[in-house]
Amino acid sequence: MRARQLISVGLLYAMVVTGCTPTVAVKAPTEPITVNLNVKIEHEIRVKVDRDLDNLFEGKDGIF
Amino acid sequence: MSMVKKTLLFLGILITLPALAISLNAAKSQGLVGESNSGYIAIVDTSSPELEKLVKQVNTKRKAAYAQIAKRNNIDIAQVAARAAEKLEARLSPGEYYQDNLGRWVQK
Repeated sequence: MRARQLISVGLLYAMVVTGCTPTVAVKAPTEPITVNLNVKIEHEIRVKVDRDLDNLFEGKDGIF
Repeated sequence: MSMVKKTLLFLGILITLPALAISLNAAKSQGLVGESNSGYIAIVDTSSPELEKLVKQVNTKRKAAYAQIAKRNNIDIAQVAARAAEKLEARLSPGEYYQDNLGRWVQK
């Protein structure tokens, strides 16, 4: 009797706990390599363009 | 000529004189031109031939400089200009104008 009570209380507790916990689905990206490559190239270009622009802004043309 | 008219004329000359040969920095600090959201400068409110001349000169030089950077990095000039717009907005002094994404003028 005591064991059955414990189980039912445990079950209820588990249900309450899982009911309140948001489910987080971890899903692997479908094309991780392509995505990473694109991000890397974008970033490299951005860094280079930023450097070029900074040099341009510091120039003596008076157009910035 | 009445005294009032003379005073008005004098004030008018005083106000228009600085606009005759205005530098980009002066035009920016006076709020006459601002940084557009496309990487070029634009007239904020009131246009004048002198301002239009300045805007045209500056933007022609900017376009050439952006084109060089675009070519060097093998990307589109519009991408360089868009990035320049972001960076230029960040560089502005308080009180100067820039255009937000919706094309509205915002005073920094």
